[in-house]
Amino acid sequence: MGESLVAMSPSPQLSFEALYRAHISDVWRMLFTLGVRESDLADACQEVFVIVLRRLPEFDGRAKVTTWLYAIALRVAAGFRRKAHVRREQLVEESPEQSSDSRLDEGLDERRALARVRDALEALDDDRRAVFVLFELQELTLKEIAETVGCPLQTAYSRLLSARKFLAQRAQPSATQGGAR
Amino acid sequence: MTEQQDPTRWADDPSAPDSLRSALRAARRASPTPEAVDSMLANVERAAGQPAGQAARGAPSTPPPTQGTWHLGAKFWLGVLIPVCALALLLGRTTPPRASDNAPRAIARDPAPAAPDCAVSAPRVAAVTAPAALSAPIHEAVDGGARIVLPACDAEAHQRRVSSAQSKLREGDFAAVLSLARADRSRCPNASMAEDRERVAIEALVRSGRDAEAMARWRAFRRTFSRSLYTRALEVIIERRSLR
Repeated sequence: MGESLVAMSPSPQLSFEALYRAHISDVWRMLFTLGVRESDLADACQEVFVIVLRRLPEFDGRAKVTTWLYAIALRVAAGFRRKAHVRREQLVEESPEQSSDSRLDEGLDERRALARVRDALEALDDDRRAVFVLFELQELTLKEIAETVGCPLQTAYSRLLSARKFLAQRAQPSATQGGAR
Repeated sequence: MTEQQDPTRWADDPSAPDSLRSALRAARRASPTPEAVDSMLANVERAAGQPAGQAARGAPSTPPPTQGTWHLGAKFWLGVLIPVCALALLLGRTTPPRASDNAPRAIARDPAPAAPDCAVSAPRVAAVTAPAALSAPIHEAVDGGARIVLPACDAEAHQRRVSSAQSKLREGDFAAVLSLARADRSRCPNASMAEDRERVAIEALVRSGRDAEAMARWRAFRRTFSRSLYTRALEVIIERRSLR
Protein backbone atom coordinates (compact mmCIF):
# COMPACT_ATOMS: atom_id res chain seq x y z
CA MET A 1 0.00 0.00 0.00
CA GLY A 2 2.45 2.66 1.14
CA GLU A 3 5.13 1.19 -1.09
CA SER A 4 3.25 1.81 -4.27
CA LEU A 5 2.22 5.29 -3.18
CA VAL A 6 5.80 6.34 -2.92
CA ALA A 7 6.86 4.62 -6.06
CA MET A 8 4.01 5.96 -8.15
CA SER A 9 3.89 9.53 -7.09
CA PRO A 10 6.28 11.90 -8.80
CA SER A 11 5.79 14.47 -6.05
CA PRO A 12 7.45 13.83 -2.71
CA GLN A 13 4.92 16.10 -1.03
CA LEU A 14 1.93 14.15 -2.27
CA SER A 15 3.46 10.81 -1.54
CA PHE A 16 4.46 11.96 1.91
CA GLU A 17 0.94 12.85 2.96
CA ALA A 18 -0.37 9.56 1.61
CA LEU A 19 2.37 7.72 3.40
CA TYR A 20 1.68 9.63 6.60
CA ARG A 21 -2.03 8.93 6.56
CA ALA A 22 -1.51 5.29 5.69
CA HIS A 23 0.91 4.68 8.52
CA ILE A 24 0.41 7.20 11.29
CA SER A 25 -1.75 4.85 13.35
CA ASP A 26 0.76 2.05 13.00
CA VAL A 27 3.60 4.30 14.07
CA TRP A 28 1.57 5.72 16.94
CA ARG A 29 0.71 2.24 18.27
CA MET A 30 4.22 1.06 17.79
CA LEU A 31 5.82 3.96 19.64
CA PHE A 32 3.39 3.60 22.49
CA THR A 33 3.94 -0.12 22.93
CA LEU A 34 7.68 0.39 22.65
CA GLY A 35 7.53 2.52 25.77
CA VAL A 36 7.30 6.13 24.64
CA ARG A 37 5.46 8.07 27.32
CA GLU A 38 1.96 9.20 26.48
CA SER A 39 2.91 12.79 26.93
CA ASP A 40 5.71 12.36 24.39
CA LEU A 41 3.74 10.32 21.91
CA ALA A 42 2.73 13.11 19.56
CA ASP A 43 6.24 14.50 19.56
CA ALA A 44 7.68 11.09 18.84
CA CYS A 45 5.27 10.53 15.95
CA GLN A 46 6.16 13.91 14.55
CA GLU A 47 9.84 13.15 14.87
CA VAL A 48 9.44 9.92 12.94
CA PHE A 49 7.63 11.64 10.10
CA VAL A 50 9.94 14.63 10.02
CA ILE A 51 12.77 12.17 9.42
CA VAL A 52 10.65 10.34 6.84
CA LEU A 53 9.84 13.56 5.04
CA ARG A 54 13.45 14.62 4.94
CA ARG A 55 14.72 11.26 3.81
CA LEU A 56 11.94 10.36 1.43
CA PRO A 57 13.87 11.48 -1.64
CA GLU A 58 16.65 9.08 -0.65
CA PHE A 59 14.30 6.14 -0.31
CA ASP A 60 15.24 3.83 -3.14
CA GLY A 61 12.36 1.38 -2.84
CA ARG A 62 14.56 -1.63 -2.34
CA ALA A 63 13.14 -2.21 1.12
CA LYS A 64 9.45 -2.07 1.91
CA VAL A 65 8.26 1.28 3.15
CA THR A 66 7.05 -0.30 6.35
CA THR A 67 10.44 -1.82 7.02
CA TRP A 68 12.08 1.53 6.50
CA LEU A 69 9.48 3.43 8.48
CA TYR A 70 9.48 1.06 11.42
CA ALA A 71 13.26 1.09 11.58
CA ILE A 72 13.08 4.86 11.97
CA ALA A 73 10.35 4.49 14.59
CA LEU A 74 12.45 2.02 16.55
CA ARG A 75 15.32 4.49 16.75
CA VAL A 76 13.06 7.38 17.68
CA ALA A 77 11.39 5.29 20.38
CA ALA A 78 14.76 4.40 21.85
CA GLY A 79 15.71 8.08 21.91
CA PHE A 80 12.51 9.07 23.66
CA ARG A 81 12.83 6.31 26.21
CA ARG A 82 16.31 7.45 27.07
CA LYS A 83 15.09 10.99 27.34
CA ALA A 84 12.17 10.20 29.57
CA HIS A 85 14.33 8.30 32.07
CA VAL A 86 11.20 6.54 33.15
CA ARG A 87 11.11 3.02 31.87
CA ARG A 88 8.11 2.03 33.88
CA GLU A 89 5.51 4.65 33.57
CA GLN A 90 2.40 4.31 35.61
CA LEU A 91 0.08 3.72 32.80
CA VAL A 92 -1.80 6.70 32.70
CA GLU A 93 -2.43 6.81 34.77
CA GLU A 94 -5.75 5.41 34.64
CA SER A 95 -6.61 8.22 36.99
CA PRO A 96 -7.96 10.61 34.38
CA GLU A 97 -10.07 7.89 32.91
CA GLN A 98 -11.22 6.53 36.24
CA SER A 99 -11.97 9.92 37.61
CA SER A 100 -14.02 10.99 34.66
CA ASP A 101 -17.03 9.86 32.71
CA SER A 102 -17.19 6.64 30.78
CA ARG A 103 -18.27 8.60 27.72
CA LEU A 104 -14.78 9.95 27.41
CA ASP A 105 -13.68 8.97 24.00
CA GLU A 106 -14.41 6.83 21.06
CA GLY A 107 -11.76 4.21 20.78
CA LEU A 108 -11.09 4.24 24.48
CA ASP A 109 -11.46 0.47 24.77
CA GLU A 110 -8.86 0.01 22.09
CA ARG A 111 -6.54 2.46 23.77
CA ARG A 112 -6.97 0.68 27.06
CA ALA A 113 -6.21 -2.59 25.33
CA LEU A 114 -3.13 -0.99 23.89
CA ALA A 115 -2.16 0.16 27.36
CA ARG A 116 -2.61 -3.39 28.67
CA VAL A 117 -0.33 -4.70 25.96
CA ARG A 118 2.22 -2.09 26.75
CA ASP A 119 1.95 -2.81 30.44
CA ALA A 120 2.62 -6.47 29.77
CA LEU A 121 5.68 -5.60 27.70
CA GLU A 122 7.28 -3.31 30.25
CA ALA A 123 9.45 -6.03 31.71
CA LEU A 124 10.78 -7.18 28.36
CA ASP A 125 14.16 -6.01 27.15
CA ASP A 126 14.23 -3.73 24.12
CA ASP A 127 15.25 -6.37 21.58
CA ARG A 128 12.56 -8.88 22.40
CA ARG A 129 10.01 -6.16 22.87
CA ALA A 130 10.64 -4.73 19.41
CA VAL A 131 10.31 -8.12 17.73
CA PHE A 132 7.14 -8.93 19.67
CA VAL A 133 5.52 -5.59 18.82
CA LEU A 134 6.45 -5.81 15.15
CA PHE A 135 5.15 -9.35 14.84
CA GLU A 136 2.07 -9.39 17.04
CA LEU A 137 0.84 -5.85 16.69
CA GLN A 138 2.27 -4.54 13.44
CA GLU A 139 1.88 -7.94 11.79
CA LEU A 140 5.17 -7.93 9.96
CA THR A 141 6.63 -11.24 8.90
CA LEU A 142 9.72 -12.43 10.69
CA LYS A 143 11.73 -11.83 7.54
CA GLU A 144 10.62 -8.20 7.48
CA ILE A 145 11.32 -7.90 11.19
CA ALA A 146 14.83 -9.21 10.71
CA GLU A 147 15.39 -6.52 8.08
CA THR A 148 13.84 -3.83 10.24
CA VAL A 149 15.82 -4.50 13.37
CA GLY A 150 18.92 -5.56 11.48
CA CYS A 151 19.37 -9.06 12.82
CA PRO A 152 19.45 -12.55 11.29
CA LEU A 153 16.10 -14.20 10.69
CA GLN A 154 16.82 -16.93 13.20
CA THR A 155 17.56 -14.30 15.85
CA ALA A 156 14.26 -12.59 15.20
CA TYR A 157 12.53 -15.93 15.52
CA SER A 158 14.21 -16.81 18.79
CA ARG A 159 13.53 -13.34 20.21
CA LEU A 160 9.86 -13.76 19.42
CA LEU A 161 9.68 -17.18 21.03
CA SER A 162 11.57 -15.96 24.04
CA ALA A 163 9.30 -12.94 24.42
CA ARG A 164 6.23 -15.14 24.13
CA LYS A 165 7.53 -17.57 26.70
CA PHE A 166 8.29 -14.75 29.09
CA LEU A 167 4.90 -13.13 28.63
CA ALA A 168 3.02 -16.40 28.88
CA GLN A 169 4.75 -17.17 32.16
CA ARG A 170 3.84 -13.76 33.51
CA ALA A 171 0.28 -14.01 32.28
CA GLN A 172 -0.37 -17.29 34.07
CA PRO A 173 -0.24 -16.10 37.70
CA SER A 174 -2.27 -13.00 36.91
CA ALA A 175 -4.89 -15.12 35.16
CA THR A 176 -5.43 -17.12 38.30
CA GLN A 177 -5.12 -13.92 40.35
CA GLY A 178 -3.31 -14.71 43.51
CA GLY A 179 -2.94 -18.38 42.79
CA ALA A 180 0.09 -20.30 43.87
CA ARG A 181 3.20 -19.54 41.90
CA MET B 1 12.69 -19.30 6.60
CA THR B 2 9.66 -18.21 4.65
CA GLU B 3 6.61 -16.28 5.59
CA GLN B 4 4.58 -19.50 5.82
CA GLN B 5 6.82 -20.73 8.58
CA ASP B 6 6.01 -17.79 10.80
CA PRO B 7 4.09 -18.88 13.86
CA THR B 8 0.43 -18.00 14.21
CA ARG B 9 0.00 -14.58 15.71
CA TRP B 10 -1.22 -14.60 19.26
CA ALA B 11 -4.26 -12.54 18.44
CA ASP B 12 -5.43 -15.45 16.29
CA ASP B 13 -4.08 -18.27 18.39
CA PRO B 14 -6.46 -19.89 20.88
CA SER B 15 -3.54 -21.30 22.81
CA ALA B 16 -2.17 -17.82 23.57
CA PRO B 17 -2.87 -16.31 27.01
CA ASP B 18 -6.45 -15.04 26.95
CA SER B 19 -5.72 -11.66 28.42
CA LEU B 20 -3.04 -10.86 25.87
CA ARG B 21 -4.91 -12.36 22.96
CA SER B 22 -7.93 -10.16 23.45
CA ALA B 23 -5.81 -7.11 24.26
CA LEU B 24 -3.74 -7.60 21.12
CA ARG B 25 -6.84 -7.89 18.98
CA ALA B 26 -8.32 -4.70 20.30
CA ALA B 27 -5.00 -2.90 20.39
CA ARG B 28 -4.53 -3.38 16.65
CA ARG B 29 -7.48 -1.09 16.13
CA ALA B 30 -6.24 1.66 18.44
CA SER B 31 -5.39 4.89 16.71
CA PRO B 32 -4.92 8.56 17.48
CA THR B 33 -7.91 10.83 17.09
CA PRO B 34 -8.44 12.42 13.64
CA GLU B 35 -7.67 15.82 15.19
CA ALA B 36 -4.38 14.53 16.52
CA VAL B 37 -3.54 13.05 13.12
CA ASP B 38 -4.15 16.37 11.38
CA SER B 39 -2.36 18.34 14.04
CA MET B 40 0.71 16.13 13.87
CA LEU B 41 0.78 16.33 10.09
CA ALA B 42 0.65 20.12 10.22
CA ASN B 43 3.48 20.16 12.74
CA VAL B 44 5.59 17.77 10.71
CA GLU B 45 5.22 19.87 7.60
CA ARG B 46 5.91 23.05 9.50
CA ALA B 47 8.98 21.58 11.18
CA ALA B 48 10.37 20.02 8.03
CA GLY B 49 9.43 22.89 5.77
CA GLN B 50 11.37 25.46 7.72
CA PRO B 51 15.09 25.97 7.64
CA ALA B 52 16.85 23.61 9.99
CA GLY B 53 17.44 26.39 12.48
CA GLN B 54 13.74 26.93 12.91
CA ALA B 55 12.47 23.39 12.65
CA ALA B 56 12.50 22.72 16.36
CA ARG B 57 10.60 25.92 17.08
CA GLY B 58 8.07 25.11 14.41
CA ALA B 59 6.81 22.16 16.39
CA PRO B 60 4.88 23.26 19.43
CA SER B 61 6.45 20.86 21.83
CA THR B 62 9.64 19.08 22.59
CA PRO B 63 11.66 17.72 19.73
CA PRO B 64 13.76 14.81 20.93
CA PRO B 65 17.51 14.75 20.81
CA THR B 66 17.63 12.35 17.90
CA GLN B 67 20.37 12.08 15.38
CA GLY B 68 19.21 14.95 13.20
CA THR B 69 19.00 17.64 15.81
CA TRP B 70 21.99 16.36 17.66
CA HIS B 71 23.94 16.46 14.45
CA LEU B 72 23.08 20.10 13.99
CA GLY B 73 23.76 20.81 17.63
CA ALA B 74 27.16 19.19 17.44
CA LYS B 75 28.00 21.21 14.35
CA PHE B 76 26.98 24.36 16.11
CA TRP B 77 28.99 23.45 19.18
CA LEU B 78 32.11 22.76 17.19
CA GLY B 79 31.69 25.47 14.64
CA VAL B 80 30.53 28.39 16.73
CA LEU B 81 31.01 27.98 20.44
CA ILE B 82 34.60 26.82 20.36
CA PRO B 83 35.68 29.81 18.28
CA VAL B 84 33.63 32.06 20.56
CA CYS B 85 35.30 30.67 23.65
CA ALA B 86 38.70 30.94 22.05
CA LEU B 87 38.01 34.53 21.07
CA ALA B 88 36.79 35.35 24.55
CA LEU B 89 39.92 33.88 26.08
CA LEU B 90 42.07 35.82 23.69
CA LEU B 91 40.33 39.00 24.64
CA GLY B 92 40.75 38.18 28.30
CA ARG B 93 37.08 37.65 28.86
CA THR B 94 35.36 34.62 30.27
CA THR B 95 32.24 33.04 28.94
CA PRO B 96 29.31 32.69 31.33
CA PRO B 97 29.91 29.49 33.27
CA ARG B 98 26.31 28.28 33.21
CA ALA B 99 26.09 28.77 29.50
CA SER B 100 29.10 26.66 28.76
CA ASP B 101 27.90 23.94 31.10
CA ASN B 102 24.66 23.64 29.27
CA ALA B 103 25.58 24.54 25.78
CA PRO B 104 25.09 21.20 24.04
CA ARG B 105 21.58 20.76 25.38
CA ALA B 106 20.55 24.27 24.49
CA ILE B 107 22.06 23.94 21.07
CA ALA B 108 20.24 20.74 20.30
CA ARG B 109 17.02 22.62 20.80
CA ASP B 110 18.13 25.62 18.84
CA PRO B 111 20.22 24.48 15.94
CA ALA B 112 22.77 26.38 14.00
CA PRO B 113 22.03 29.66 12.36
CA ALA B 114 22.77 29.82 8.65
CA ALA B 115 25.68 32.17 9.10
CA PRO B 116 27.44 31.85 12.44
CA ASP B 117 27.83 35.19 14.05
CA CYS B 118 29.84 35.42 17.22
CA ALA B 119 28.20 38.57 18.42
CA VAL B 120 24.76 37.01 18.20
CA SER B 121 25.29 33.39 19.03
CA ALA B 122 27.15 33.67 22.31
CA PRO B 123 24.59 35.75 24.19
CA ARG B 124 21.79 33.68 22.72
CA VAL B 125 23.04 30.50 24.30
CA ALA B 126 23.52 32.29 27.57
CA ALA B 127 20.00 33.61 27.43
CA VAL B 128 18.47 30.21 26.78
CA THR B 129 20.19 28.59 29.71
CA ALA B 130 20.13 31.55 32.05
CA PRO B 131 19.15 30.79 35.63
CA ALA B 132 16.41 33.37 35.30
CA ALA B 133 14.44 30.76 33.38
CA LEU B 134 14.17 28.79 36.60
CA SER B 135 11.45 31.02 37.85
CA ALA B 136 9.65 31.37 34.54
CA PRO B 137 6.17 29.93 34.35
CA ILE B 138 6.08 26.81 32.27
CA HIS B 139 4.17 28.28 29.36
CA GLU B 140 6.50 31.21 29.11
CA ALA B 141 9.48 28.97 29.00
CA VAL B 142 7.93 27.05 26.14
CA ASP B 143 6.54 29.98 24.22
CA GLY B 144 9.79 31.82 24.51
CA GLY B 145 11.63 29.19 22.55
CA ALA B 146 12.48 25.56 22.95
CA ARG B 147 11.66 23.66 26.11
CA ILE B 148 14.59 23.51 28.39
CA VAL B 149 15.59 20.88 30.90
CA LEU B 150 17.33 22.95 33.46
CA PRO B 151 20.49 21.74 35.11
CA ALA B 152 19.15 22.33 38.60
CA CYS B 153 16.48 19.72 38.05
CA ASP B 154 17.26 16.33 39.50
CA ALA B 155 15.27 13.96 37.29
CA GLU B 156 14.79 11.32 39.96
CA ALA B 157 13.67 13.82 42.56
CA HIS B 158 11.34 15.33 39.97
CA GLN B 159 9.75 11.94 39.31
CA ARG B 160 9.45 11.24 43.02
CA ARG B 161 7.73 14.56 43.64
CA VAL B 162 5.26 14.05 40.83
CA SER B 163 4.56 10.47 41.86
CA SER B 164 4.01 11.63 45.44
CA ALA B 165 1.67 14.33 44.20
CA GLN B 166 -0.31 11.69 42.30
CA SER B 167 -0.54 9.57 45.46
CA LYS B 168 -1.60 12.54 47.54
CA LEU B 169 -4.27 13.35 45.01
CA ARG B 170 -5.68 9.86 45.32
CA GLU B 171 -5.65 10.27 49.10
CA GLY B 172 -7.46 13.58 48.81
CA ASP B 173 -4.65 15.60 50.38
CA PHE B 174 -4.91 18.55 48.00
CA ALA B 175 -2.72 20.87 50.02
CA ALA B 176 0.12 18.38 49.81
CA VAL B 177 -0.44 17.98 46.06
CA LEU B 178 -0.19 21.70 45.51
CA SER B 179 2.82 22.04 47.73
CA LEU B 180 4.64 19.30 45.85
CA ALA B 181 3.59 20.74 42.50
CA ARG B 182 4.81 24.19 43.49
CA ALA B 183 8.16 22.87 44.66
CA ASP B 184 8.58 20.82 41.53
CA ARG B 185 7.55 23.59 39.20
CA SER B 186 10.13 25.92 40.64
CA ARG B 187 12.91 23.34 40.24
CA CYS B 188 11.87 21.48 37.12
CA PRO B 189 9.44 23.64 35.17
CA ASN B 190 9.73 21.67 31.95
CA ALA B 191 11.03 18.28 32.95
CA SER B 192 9.74 14.96 31.70
CA MET B 193 6.70 14.73 33.98
CA ALA B 194 5.73 18.39 33.88
CA GLU B 195 2.51 17.52 32.10
CA ASP B 196 1.62 14.96 34.75
CA ARG B 197 2.42 17.46 37.49
CA GLU B 198 0.24 20.15 35.96
CA ARG B 199 -2.59 17.70 35.53
CA VAL B 200 -2.63 16.70 39.21
CA ALA B 201 -2.24 20.31 40.30
CA ILE B 202 -5.26 21.38 38.26
CA GLU B 203 -7.34 18.53 39.58
CA ALA B 204 -6.29 19.38 43.13
CA LEU B 205 -7.22 23.03 42.63
CA VAL B 206 -10.62 22.09 41.21
CA ARG B 207 -11.37 19.63 43.94
CA SER B 208 -10.33 22.03 46.65
CA GLY B 209 -12.64 24.69 45.24
CA ARG B 210 -9.97 27.13 44.10
CA ASP B 211 -11.74 27.74 40.83
CA ALA B 212 -10.02 30.88 39.64
CA GLU B 213 -6.57 29.41 40.13
CA ALA B 214 -7.71 26.17 38.55
CA MET B 215 -8.95 27.97 35.46
CA ALA B 216 -5.77 30.01 35.11
CA ARG B 217 -3.65 26.92 35.39
CA TRP B 218 -5.93 25.02 33.04
CA ARG B 219 -5.58 27.71 30.40
CA ALA B 220 -1.80 27.58 30.73
CA PHE B 221 -1.94 23.80 30.49
CA ARG B 222 -3.91 23.93 27.26
CA ARG B 223 -1.47 26.39 25.75
CA THR B 224 1.55 24.38 26.76
CA PHE B 225 0.28 20.84 26.20
CA SER B 226 -2.12 21.44 23.38
CA ARG B 227 -2.29 17.79 22.38
CA SER B 228 -2.26 16.27 25.82
CA LEU B 229 -4.14 13.06 26.42
CA TYR B 230 -5.15 14.56 29.77
CA THR B 231 -7.05 17.37 28.12
CA ARG B 232 -10.30 15.50 27.77
CA ALA B 233 -10.27 14.21 31.32
CA LEU B 234 -9.50 17.65 32.70
CA GLU B 235 -12.28 19.17 30.65
CA VAL B 236 -14.70 16.72 32.19
CA ILE B 237 -13.49 17.52 35.70
CA ILE B 238 -13.79 21.24 35.10
CA GLU B 239 -17.20 20.95 33.47
CA ARG B 240 -18.46 18.94 36.40
CA ARG B 241 -17.21 21.56 38.79
CA SER B 242 -18.87 24.37 36.90
CA LEU B 243 -22.21 22.51 36.93
CA ARG B 244 -22.26 22.38 40.70
